[in-house]
Amino acid sequence: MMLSYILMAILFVLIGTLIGSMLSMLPGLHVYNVIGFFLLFYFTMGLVIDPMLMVLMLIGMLVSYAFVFTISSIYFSAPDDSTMFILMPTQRYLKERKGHEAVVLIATGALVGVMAITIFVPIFMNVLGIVWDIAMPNIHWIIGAVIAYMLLSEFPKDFGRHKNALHGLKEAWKTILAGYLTFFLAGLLGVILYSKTIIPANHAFQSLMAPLIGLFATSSIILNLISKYEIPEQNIPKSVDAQPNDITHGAVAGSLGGLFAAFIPAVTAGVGGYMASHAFAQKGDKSFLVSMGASRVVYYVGAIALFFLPTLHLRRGALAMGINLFFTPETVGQFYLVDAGIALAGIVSFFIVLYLSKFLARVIPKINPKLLNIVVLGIIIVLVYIMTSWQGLIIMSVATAIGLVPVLFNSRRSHCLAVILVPIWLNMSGIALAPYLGLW
Amino acid sequence: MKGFAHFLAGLTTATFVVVIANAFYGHNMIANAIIQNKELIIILGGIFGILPDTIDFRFAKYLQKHDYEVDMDEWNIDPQRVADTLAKAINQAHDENREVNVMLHTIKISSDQWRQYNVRFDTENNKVVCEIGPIISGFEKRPYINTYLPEDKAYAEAEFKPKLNYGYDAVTHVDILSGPDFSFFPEKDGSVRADFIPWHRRWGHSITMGVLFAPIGFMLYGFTPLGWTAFWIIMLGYWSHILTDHFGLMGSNMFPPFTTRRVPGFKVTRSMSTLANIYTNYTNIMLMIFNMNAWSPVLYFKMPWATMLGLTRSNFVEWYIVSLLNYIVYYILPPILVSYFVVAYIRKRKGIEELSDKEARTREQMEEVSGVNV
Amino acid sequence: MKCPSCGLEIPDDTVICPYCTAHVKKRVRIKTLYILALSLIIVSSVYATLAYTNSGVGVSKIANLSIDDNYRFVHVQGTVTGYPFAYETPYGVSQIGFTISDGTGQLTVKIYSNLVAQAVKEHKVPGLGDWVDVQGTFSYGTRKSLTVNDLYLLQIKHTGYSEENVNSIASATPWTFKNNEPVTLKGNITGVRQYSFGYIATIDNRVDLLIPKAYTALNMLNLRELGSGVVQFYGALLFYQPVKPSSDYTTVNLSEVMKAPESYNRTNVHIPWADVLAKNDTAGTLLIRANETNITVYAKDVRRYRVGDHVEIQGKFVNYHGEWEISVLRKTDFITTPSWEVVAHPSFKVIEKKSYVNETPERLNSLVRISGVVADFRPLSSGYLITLWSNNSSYSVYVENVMSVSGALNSGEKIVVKGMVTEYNGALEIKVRAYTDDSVEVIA
Repeated sequence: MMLSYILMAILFVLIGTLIGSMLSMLPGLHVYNVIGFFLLFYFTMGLVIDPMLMVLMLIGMLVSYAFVFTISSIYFSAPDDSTMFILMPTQRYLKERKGHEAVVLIATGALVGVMAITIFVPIFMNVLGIVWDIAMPNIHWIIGAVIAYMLLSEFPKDFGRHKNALHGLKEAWKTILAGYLTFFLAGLLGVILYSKTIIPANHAFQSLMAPLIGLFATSSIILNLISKYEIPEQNIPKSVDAQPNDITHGAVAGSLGGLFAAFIPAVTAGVGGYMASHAFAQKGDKSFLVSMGASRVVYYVGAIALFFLPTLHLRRGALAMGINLFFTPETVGQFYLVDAGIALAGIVSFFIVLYLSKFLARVIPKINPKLLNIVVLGIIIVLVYIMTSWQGLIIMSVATAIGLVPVLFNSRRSHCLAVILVPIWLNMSGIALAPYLGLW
Repeated sequence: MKGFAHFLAGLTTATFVVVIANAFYGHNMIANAIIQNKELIIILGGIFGILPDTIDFRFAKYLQKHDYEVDMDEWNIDPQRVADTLAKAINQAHDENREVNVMLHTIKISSDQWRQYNVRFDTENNKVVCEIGPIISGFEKRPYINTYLPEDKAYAEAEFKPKLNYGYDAVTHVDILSGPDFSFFPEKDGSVRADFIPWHRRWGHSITMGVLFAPIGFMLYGFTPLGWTAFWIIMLGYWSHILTDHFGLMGSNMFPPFTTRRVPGFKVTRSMSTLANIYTNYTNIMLMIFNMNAWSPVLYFKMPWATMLGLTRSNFVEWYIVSLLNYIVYYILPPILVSYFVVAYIRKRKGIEELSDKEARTREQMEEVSGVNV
Repeated sequence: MKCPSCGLEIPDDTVICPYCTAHVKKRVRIKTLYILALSLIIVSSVYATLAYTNSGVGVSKIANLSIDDNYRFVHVQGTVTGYPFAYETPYGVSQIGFTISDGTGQLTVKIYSNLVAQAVKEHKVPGLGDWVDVQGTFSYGTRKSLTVNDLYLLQIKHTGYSEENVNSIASATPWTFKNNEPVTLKGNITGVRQYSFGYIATIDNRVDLLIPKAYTALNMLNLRELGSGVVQFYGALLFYQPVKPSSDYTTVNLSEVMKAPESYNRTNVHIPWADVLAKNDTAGTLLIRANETNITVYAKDVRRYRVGDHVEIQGKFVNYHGEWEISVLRKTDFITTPSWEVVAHPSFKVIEKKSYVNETPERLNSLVRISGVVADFRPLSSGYLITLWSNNSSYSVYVENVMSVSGALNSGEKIVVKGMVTEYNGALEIKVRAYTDDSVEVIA
C-alpha cells in the first residue's frame, strides 16, 4: 500500500470523526441515521472516491457516534437503545454535580473497548470463527434464552410492606407485570413494524428509528418534563472516583458483552452489556458505566472489525450491512487499515468527548431544564419527521406510550428492547405471528 | 450464586441432556429437532434453572407470615424498638414453644437513598444490639458520612432470656429494597434457633420440586422422545440450581416434606464470590459450546486425544467422554487456574485476608436478602 | 478542602465526601487516562505500518486450496499459462482474467469492473509466461478462481526477454525453444486476421503473432500503431500444432525405423519434425527428411505443401510395392506444418514510424499511397485481389479483409490505395492489411 494512500486514509478517518461528532450531538439521533446520512453522501460521491476511503470515513463516524452520543444521553437525557441502561446512574451523577465524571468513566470504557477491538479480537479471530460456525444453527434458542432471562430477572421492588400475603403478591407483581406488559407491547409493536410498516418506502431504511426514539428518548424527556428535574452546577474534576480494579472489571465485562451483541442477531449493545454485567457479578455504578461505554463501542465498531476480519467476514449489524451495499472486504491490508482507523478515531473521539462534556457541564446548568427538554423534544420530533415523515411520528407516539409504562411503574426499561428482540427471534425460530395478526 | 449463573447452569444441563438423549435415540433425532425444526427445548433448562429463586423471591417471600414488623421512617428512628422487638420475639418463641417471625423493614428516604441500620445477636451475653447507620445511596450502598446519628441516638441493646443458637455471628445490615426477616424456632434442648430469611432455600430449593415440575415436559411435547428429553431437562435444570447453590455456605432444604432444615453447603466458593460467578459462567459457556459442537452436523473442532485414540463420533460415548475430558483439560481449567492464582497472589500482596467462615456466610446471606441478584 | 468529585467544601480529614459519597483518596487521575488514550496511537501506527507493508498471508499451493477455502483470502504465485481473456459489454470491458499455474494446479485470476481500467493504467495485465504474485478472494467451483480486489495485491514480473529475429523463430525446431519462453523481436506487420480469440498478425510474412482479444479490447495493443512501422514486439513463444498428435501413434526416430523396418510394418507412426525435400503433385507424394533419413509420404492432397516446409506427420508405416513409405489416408492421419508462434505481451515499442508515401511500390515493407483505376477485381476466400492501373503500369493489390472495402468495385473505378509493399510468390504486391490504417478509397 502506498504511503499517500495511508495518509489519505488517515485524513478520511479524521473527517469522518469530525462529521460524526457533530451529528452525534443531535439528541435522538440513532446509529441508523448516521449510516443513512453516510449512504446519502456515498451515493453522491462514491463514484469519485475509493470505496475503502469511504469505509474509513464511516468508521470515523461510527466510532465518534459511539463515544459522543453518551453526551446527549446524559446531558439531554435522550438515550437510545444502548444508552438507556446508563440513564439512571448518570442522572444521579448529574444530581451530585458529577456529570463530567460520569462522561469520563463512560469514555474510558469506550477507550478500552477500542483497545479490545483492535488488539484482542484479531488475536482470537480463529476462535471466533469456529464459535460462530458452531453457534449459528443454534441462534434461535440462544436469542430465546436471552429473552427468557430478561423476563425472569425482573425483580419486585415492593420494599416488603404488605398487609397480608395476597396484598404482598399484588404489590410485588405490579412492577413485574408492568415489565411484562411493556415487553408484550413492545414485542407486538416490533412484529407489526417488521411485517408491515407504515413508513413510506423511501424512508424504509430508517424504519426502526421512530420506535426506538419513542421507546427510549421521548419517554425519558416526557418524564423529565412532568417531574421535578433540574441540573445543579457541575464540577469539572481532575480525577475520577474509581480504582483501576473497577475500570478493568467493567471494561472486560463490557467488551465481552459488546462482542456477544456483535455476534448474536437481535441482541444490541445494551442487552449484551447487561448480560455481561450479570455474568461478571458486577457491583456498583462505576464499573457499570465503564462496561456500558465499552460494550457500546465494541458492538457498533466491533461489528465492522468482525466484518473485515479475514477469516470471518461476519455480516452483522446495520453498519456492516450498510457497507455491504457497496463494498466487500477482502484483503488483510484493508483489515489493518480499518483497525488503524478505529484506533485513531478512538483517540480523537475520546478527547472530543471530554472537551464537549467540559463545555456542556458549564453551560447546561445555566439553561432552564424545562426549556432544554422542550427544545430537545422539538429537535427529536423534527428529526423523526425529516427521516421518516409523518407516519414515523405516529409510530413514535405509540412507542412513547409503551416506553412510559416502565417509567411510571418503576419496572425495567430494558423490556422495551423487545421491539427488536421479539420479531427477529420469531423469525429465526420459524414462528410466523404476522398472519394471525392479519398483517399478510 | 447470581441468577445469571443459575440460568447458564440450567442451559448447560439442558445441552448435556440433549447430547445424551441424542445418543440414546440415535439418528441425530433431538439435535435435528433443535437445529432444523428450531425447537426451543433447551430454553426450558434455563427457565427452570432460575425458577427456584423466582419461586422464593416472587412468591414464597410474600407467603411468609410475620408476628412482628419493625417499620421506621427517617423522622421516627428508634433503635431501641428494633432491639426490643427482636428480644421479645426470642423470648416468645421460647415461652410459647412456637415459631415466631420478625420482619425488619428498610428505611427509604428517596428513590435511591436508604438509611442503613445493623442488627447483631450477641449470643455470649444474650443481647440484641441495634445500631443506626448512615444514609446510603443506591445499589452501590455508598454512605453519606455526615448523615451518621450521634452515638446515643444510634445505639440500643436489649436482653433476651433463652440461649440463642445463631450461626451467623456477624452484623446483619438492613438497607436497600426490602429488609430481611428472622425466624426463631424453639429447639428441644430449650434453646432458640434463629433463622435468617426463613422463606428462602426451603421448599423452593428442593429435589422434590424438581421432580414435581418435570412432567411439564410431557405436557409440552407428549410422551415422545422430545417429551422425555424435556422431562429430564426440566428436572435436571432445576436440580442444577440446587447443586450450584450448594457449593456455597448456606445450603438448601433438599426434601421438604420429609426434612425441615437446610443442609449446610459444601463451602467451596467462600468469599471469592465474584470470581466464583465468573468461573461458573465461563465453564458453563465453554461446555455449551462443546455440546453444540458435539451435536452439530459438521464437527467444527476435534480434540487431539480422541484423534490419537482413533475415536470418532460413530462410537459416540467413548468419543464424547474422551473429548470432553480433553476439552476441560485444554480449554476450561487453564484459564481458571491461572486467573485464580493471579488473583490470589495479588490479594496476598495487598494483604487482603480471606474472610472467615462466619463473615463469608453473612455476606452470602446479605446478597441473597434483597433479591437483587436474582 | 474541596471534594475532588463534586467540588463542594468538605472537612480536611474526610475520606468519603458527605455530599456525593465519592472517595477522596482512592482516585484515578484523568491525565492517566490520557496516557491510556495516547497509547492507542501506538496501536494505530502499528496497524498503519502493517497495512503499509502488508505482509500477511502466506503463499498457498493451488492444489491445496479446497472448498474449505471458499471465499477466503489467499495468496498464490505462479506463471501465466493461458493468455488473458476479457468480457466485453456495450459499456466496455467488465472483467479480465488469466490462468496461472504453480506446478501443482491451475487457477483463474479475475479482475472486475472499475479495477479493469486501473489495471490497464498501471499496466498490470500479464502476458503468457509472466510470473504473477497475487492475493485475493478464492472461490471454489468447477474451476478454481481468485478475485483481485485491489491492484497492489497483484504483482507481475516479466522474466528476461531473449532477443530473437524472424528467421530464427521461423526455422526453429520444436526443441529449439521451450513453451512460454519470453522473446522480443523486431519486424513489420504484414497481415492481420481475426479469430474468436483475438487477432493473428504476421510479422515479416514469416512469424505469427497471436494477439489475445483482451489486449485489443483494453486498447493496450493497438493494431493501427502496431502496423505503423517497424515495431519491437514482446511475447512468449508457443509451439503451435494445428492438430494435436494422438496417443495411438508412436513417436519414432526415422533412422531407427529404417534399420529394422519390418518390425514397424503397418504400425502407426508419428514424426514430429521433418523437412519437405521434394513433392510430386501428380503422384501425391512428398519426399521428406527426418533424422538424416529420407522417406516418401503418400497423401491425398500434397499441393498445400511447399519444398522447404517443416511438417509433422502422423500416418501408417507401410510397404508399398517394396518401398517403405508412410501413408496418410485415414481420418486420424495428418500432415501439418507446426510452427513457433509468439503470443503477444501487452507492450510494444514503435522503433521506426513509417508514413504512407506517394511512390511506386519498390521497397519491401514500405508504406505507399497509390491512386489509379481498377483494372480487375476478383473476390477470394479471405479478401479481394485488385489489379490497379496507375502511371501506365499495373500493380496487384491484395485487400486482406472484406471490411476494408465498401462493397464490390467495378472495373474503371478510380481508387486510392494505402498499403504495405509485401512479397507474394516472389513478386511484389501491395497489401491492404486489415485493422490498420491501410485502406482502399473510391474517388467519386
